[in-house]
Amino acid sequence: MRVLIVEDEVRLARNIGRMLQAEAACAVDISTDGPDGLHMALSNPYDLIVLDLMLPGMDGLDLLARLRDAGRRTPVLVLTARDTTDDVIRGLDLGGDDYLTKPFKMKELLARARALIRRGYDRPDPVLRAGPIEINTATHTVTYRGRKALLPAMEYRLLEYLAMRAGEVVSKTDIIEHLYDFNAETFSNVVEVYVSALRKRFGADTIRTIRGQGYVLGGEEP
Amino acid sequence: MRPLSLKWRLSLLVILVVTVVVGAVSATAYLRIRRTYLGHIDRMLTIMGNALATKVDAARPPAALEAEARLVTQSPWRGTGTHFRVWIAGDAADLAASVPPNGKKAAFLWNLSAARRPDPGEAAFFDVQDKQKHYRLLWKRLGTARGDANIVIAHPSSYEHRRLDEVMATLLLVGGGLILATAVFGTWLVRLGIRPIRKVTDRLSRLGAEDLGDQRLADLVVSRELEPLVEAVERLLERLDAALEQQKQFASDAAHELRTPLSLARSTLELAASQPRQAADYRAAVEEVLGDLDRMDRLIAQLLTLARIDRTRGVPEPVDIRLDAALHERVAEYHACAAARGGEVTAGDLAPCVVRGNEKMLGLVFRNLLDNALTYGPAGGAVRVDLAYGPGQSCTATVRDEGGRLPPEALPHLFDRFYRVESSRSRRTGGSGLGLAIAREVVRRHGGDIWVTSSPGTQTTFHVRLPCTQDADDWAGTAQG
Repeated sequence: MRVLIVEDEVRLARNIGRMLQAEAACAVDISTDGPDGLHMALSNPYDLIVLDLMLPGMDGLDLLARLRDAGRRTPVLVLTARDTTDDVIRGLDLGGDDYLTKPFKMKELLARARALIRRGYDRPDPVLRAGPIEINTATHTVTYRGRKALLPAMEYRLLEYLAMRAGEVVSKTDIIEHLYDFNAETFSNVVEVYVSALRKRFGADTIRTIRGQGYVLGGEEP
Repeated sequence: MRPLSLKWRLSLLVILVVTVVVGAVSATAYLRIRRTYLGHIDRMLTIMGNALATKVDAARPPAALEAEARLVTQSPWRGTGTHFRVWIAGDAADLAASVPPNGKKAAFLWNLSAARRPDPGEAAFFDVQDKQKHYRLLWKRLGTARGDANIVIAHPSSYEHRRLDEVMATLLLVGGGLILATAVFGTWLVRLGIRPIRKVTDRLSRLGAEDLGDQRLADLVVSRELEPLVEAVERLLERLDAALEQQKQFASDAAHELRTPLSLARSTLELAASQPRQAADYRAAVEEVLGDLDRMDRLIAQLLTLARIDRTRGVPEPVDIRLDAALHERVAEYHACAAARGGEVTAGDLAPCVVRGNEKMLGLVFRNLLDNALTYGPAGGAVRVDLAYGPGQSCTATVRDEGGRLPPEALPHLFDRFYRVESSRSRRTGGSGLGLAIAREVVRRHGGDIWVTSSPGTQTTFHVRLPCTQDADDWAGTAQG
């Protein structure tokens, strides 16, 4: 899952980012001003945008409105230090999906972020199932045939992403765009490397390759 | 004593006016009626007096004159009630005097008051009363060969006086009734007239703070005279609303400014506590949080300063201050601070100016300006402080740095509370957004002015104009003496 944080307070953005990486298995991009944030939001397929309202260059609400004007349905979690009902209503009316007032508890931010990401994939249940594999997105634990499996971070990210879109053919570009942040260096074969690692763990037929299109987790055999 | 209520004042005024008018009309009417009634008698008495005067002149014996007089004073239409007396001044006996049928002389003809005596050759009319009977009396004096003759003729006027009394009674009754009616109806009418005032009052007394915003009086229909009042109140409400809105905005901004470092500190601590970490990581987190606490501390101090200034009126404990000396002190105070950043603060030309004001408050102004110049000016740049006379009876201090960073559209807002040219940059440098607002408030209290000029890329200058209490020559004189 890939998250964009638009927050002018660099330290806060970095803290939230590190928390999301560690606790929600997310790739995180940070933008510290409005126009840059909007540009990033429009040019990358984020699973969630954490948006501060007070931004240099462009108001957060403005950014939100333009994002929705451009037809993007990316879930947006609004952060604001203003907690008047009017501010909250305005934020939600302009297309925000949820809001948090500063100062907030990190745990709450993480929970809301996870819920919003799931909602983006139409998965209200925090536990994703693909055949014998069960993925608890809240605790990041994976069980395979009733037994707990410990996965490295990148393998978990890939599995979670494929499970979110279980039964769909997911292209390699999609995978790279959702698993890596802007600054990560990716090699052309990283996806193959992690897919084969997962196949080794859960059996070769867990993830099927559709030649020329991508990968499918679970679902019916063609 | 409290002045009478408007209702009573108006009522009393109306009653007073009606009383005066009714009184004047009644008095005029009475006098005219009286003149009409008594005028008849007066004309008759004049004719009789003139007739008698022609007889007195001739040298007739008294008895003959008396007979003539009796004949003359016989009124064809008023009977014989007329009395007369004719005498020559100085003579012991009268020339003629009427004797009524009952033989009793009218005593009042012999007891005439000398004060009523007309001048020689003239005639005078007046009223006398004798035993419930009223008389109209003519006293005529004329010079004759035998001396100064007096003719007095009195005609009964009881009938006329009774009529006049009736007229008087009628007028009093009508006038009194009119005044009473005015008192009752006038008061009622006045109350009716001031009812719109009560309507407005009731409406205003029901207004609460929550009604300030939405033009609560727009639907209040009042008479034209009250429109200015209602409009004035409406404008007052608008001003109050604006002030309240400003206060709300300020509180909201203050909360926002406090929450930002708080959320920073919180996120840092939560991140540090989320997983076991190296000691160095914890130390870094603690230092970051300490920085956040410093920022909150500074902000709270500035908020308190602003609140204190807002609470006081005018300038407390004003003293004469040598502004140049005070600026020298400030420059010395910031010397080390500037050096630590690789820059410098220097005092330029400081004219010996004296201003009257609160030393602490003015000190705060220049501290804030120097803070501002050092924080936002280019790192390692020089800051220069100058002080010069003018314009007029004032002096202007300038704090100039080498940064030309201010966009023109920011200049008018620079002194607004919590205004920031570019929020991310200012936040990182730790400004509270209140320093310049405090400076402006203090300078305005001192009757001065603060503004900023900026030439892009080269320098930014803050100007503080303060009124001088002494001009240069005076001070030079004092300094020498």
